[in-house]
Amino acid sequence: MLRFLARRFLSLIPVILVITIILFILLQLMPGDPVNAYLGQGSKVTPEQQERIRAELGLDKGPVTQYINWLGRTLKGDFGSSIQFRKPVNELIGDYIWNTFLLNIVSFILAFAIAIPVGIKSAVKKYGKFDNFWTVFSLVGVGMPSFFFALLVIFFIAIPFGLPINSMRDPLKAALGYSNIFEEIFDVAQHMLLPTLVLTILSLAGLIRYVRNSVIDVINQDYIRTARSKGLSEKVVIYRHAFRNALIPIVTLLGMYIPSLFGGSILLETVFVWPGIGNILYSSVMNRDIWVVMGANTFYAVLMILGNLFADISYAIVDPRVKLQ
Amino acid sequence: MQKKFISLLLVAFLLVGLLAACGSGDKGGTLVVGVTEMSGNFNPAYYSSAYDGHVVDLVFQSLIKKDKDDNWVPDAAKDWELQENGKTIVFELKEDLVFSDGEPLTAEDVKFTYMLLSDPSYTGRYGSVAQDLVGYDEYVNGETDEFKGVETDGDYKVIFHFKEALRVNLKNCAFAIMPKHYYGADFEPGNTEPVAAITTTPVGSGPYVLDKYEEQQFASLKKNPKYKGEGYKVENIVCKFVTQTTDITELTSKGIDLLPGVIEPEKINQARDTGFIKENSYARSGYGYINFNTEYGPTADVKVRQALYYSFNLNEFVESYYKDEKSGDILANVQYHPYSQLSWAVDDDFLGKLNKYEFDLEKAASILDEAGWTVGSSGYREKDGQVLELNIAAMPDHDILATLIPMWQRDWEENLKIKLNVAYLEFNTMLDYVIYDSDNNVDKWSVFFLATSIPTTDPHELYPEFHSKEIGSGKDNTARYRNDRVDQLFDEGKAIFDIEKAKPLYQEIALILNEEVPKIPVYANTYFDLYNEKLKNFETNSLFDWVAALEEAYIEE
Repeated sequence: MLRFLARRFLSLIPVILVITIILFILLQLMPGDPVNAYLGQGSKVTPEQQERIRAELGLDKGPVTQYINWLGRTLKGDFGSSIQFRKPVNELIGDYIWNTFLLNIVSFILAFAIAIPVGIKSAVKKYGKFDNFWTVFSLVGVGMPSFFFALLVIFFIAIPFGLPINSMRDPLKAALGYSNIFEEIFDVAQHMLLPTLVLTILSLAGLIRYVRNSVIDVINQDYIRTARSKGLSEKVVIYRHAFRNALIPIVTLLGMYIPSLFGGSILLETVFVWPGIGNILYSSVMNRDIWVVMGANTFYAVLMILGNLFADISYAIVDPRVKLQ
Repeated sequence: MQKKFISLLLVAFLLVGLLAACGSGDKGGTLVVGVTEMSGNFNPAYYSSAYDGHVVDLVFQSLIKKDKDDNWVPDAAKDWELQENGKTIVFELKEDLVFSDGEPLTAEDVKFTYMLLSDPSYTGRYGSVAQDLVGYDEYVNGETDEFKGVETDGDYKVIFHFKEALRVNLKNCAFAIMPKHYYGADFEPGNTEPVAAITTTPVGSGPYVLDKYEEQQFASLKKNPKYKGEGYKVENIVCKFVTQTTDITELTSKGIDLLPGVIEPEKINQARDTGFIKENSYARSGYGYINFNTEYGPTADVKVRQALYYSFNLNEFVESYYKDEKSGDILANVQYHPYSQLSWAVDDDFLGKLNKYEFDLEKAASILDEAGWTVGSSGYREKDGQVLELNIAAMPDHDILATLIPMWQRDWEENLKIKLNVAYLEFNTMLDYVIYDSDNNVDKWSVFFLATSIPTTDPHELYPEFHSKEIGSGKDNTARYRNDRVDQLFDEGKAIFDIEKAKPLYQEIALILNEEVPKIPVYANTYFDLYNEKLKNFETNSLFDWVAALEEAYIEE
């Protein structure tokens, strides 16, 4: 097991390197440059001053040198500084990542808590009314663009019911200070309502299909027929025998979800003005804030790869047939 | 004796009455302002978002500031004097000013601010404020450690030395004063990094202090108890993040009290329907414009540019695009000079002299015919084998261009037989073509569209766009326009301090530009500041924004 882990970790290093190189090349190919984006139109900064700024920020060197410098810094844990925010990238990511995590973990738990029982029930009563309802729900959910759904929710739920439509806190309460911690929790929870609702429904759509199909696959296996013919109750058959085996693909899904817990959704965070990392990444791409984009995307790449690794390992734990070699 | 006593008593009563009257407006209260973007960089020398700039303006003071009628008035300085025709400017500081941490504001702080902007390692975007100071070039290139541009004389006298006597020098003295003991604590010349690192914790001497900043959520400011000036009666200001899609809903549901700079008629109508939202509307100081490439291709011919002007139906565009269907108002107007509509160079006599290029396709055709551009075998106009074709550098998903291009196709292409090639470029790519890397892309475009805001009434603000010295990569004369007389008038005009004497020079420039058409101003739209009626005495215009207007405003619930 340890040897497997060590080997897997080693093999990840070149993958991450290649990802960062591709990222860097893409950023170089993107039109515009970070200093021009920071200065904006009408700053009256002379070309000489611009050159000096570029040199000070290390952006005057060739792309290869810039990449090697970035890599060297990053290995030492320094992701560089944002030109727009004038803050170290580590600090910037640290400031926003937990807001994103909070939003995603809640809808993640909700989505799984709803999808698993619904998926199983749909599978057991395949093509029944219940299944058909959730099938339509899933198809609509998968097909609906997230920002459009978010706007629908704002106009048809939030406004008539007077719910907060954006941000994370009531600025007035937060600015003047909460009287106690519960008041703050309540305020944040209220603001989370809409984005969580949208995120949960959108991830539910795919999840239910996934659980349903994987349970259906298992129900058709020989050992389920054996279990039934032994005279076991349907409950035991489904929850003990079928569901545990259906867990295997679901665990993979879980692994894939880990990066999105931190990655969040750029569109939803923008629509709901949620102070998360997606919001920052979006504004950094628009402002060509090169080190933030590099830092955040590398962070995602690492998370994605770790998520895959997690899925592999949990596979071995859930399914004894899989051997780690 | 008794008479004197009674009159004294009367005066005393009057005074008490006056004070009470002042007091009645002094209600404090909280104002929530909707902002769509904020980076949380509240460092005056480094911020770049206009919304961060609002916080900076509330937290910091400058030596002088502009009043509503565009006059310079004292802020941290109590008085100033121009010497050597304005080459040297001497400021006397108010002596009782302190920063919000209690330290006194002295001449050293002003000097520190300008040293920072001139530092060789400075990476912010305000270097232009210091670049006209004596010795700037030697200092910024690291050739000398001696900073000569700003000199102190005791604690309360600052002397600015400029290279030339220019009218615009005064404006460059009005930069936010940064406390040396705070921003300069770890600073030494050549290493500005510690200064740049102070972003979300500004310390200034202005009317407000930043109380709390939650990233991407809000910035809350409260009245600075140590502020010595008058006005600014609102106790708390909260800048709340909103989006373009929901901002008006926030205003009508009282989530925010003020939404500045709205242009969309639907939003304005929604606000009007509530009955409790007031509006300040004003013409934009600036405009959307098209620029011609005056150096390369057919648009280098002035006759072609004039013909294009005559065949561009500006009024049709403005009346269709900016019409508010509900009230029938046109929320924009057309101007024929390059200055701000509020500029002191603009008067009725001058406006009457400008050619308004009334839409006239026949006239446009005859100008082209006379200039030798006649319809040839290709079906388009040609001259000496060169086809009259325009490469239009356009931006995709741009509402205004999506309206303009079909108009041009109808009038320029179908009617006048001018070949149009529309290239859709992403915004930053286009800026690369026409500004940042313009020397290498001069043959790639003939027309582009952009919009500009002009932050001052001084027509000299337009100097970089038309002076031949400003042609080249990274510079602002994007039309690549050359005219010796215009160069000469700009060079003379900038040194004239009496605006009445400077005015004819700038009017002559505008008349030449009106004739030679390097640029066509297309529209100057109307801006609306929408606000809850609880905010009283709130008067804004395009050069006097909500931050400035808060000096006189107050809240009455």
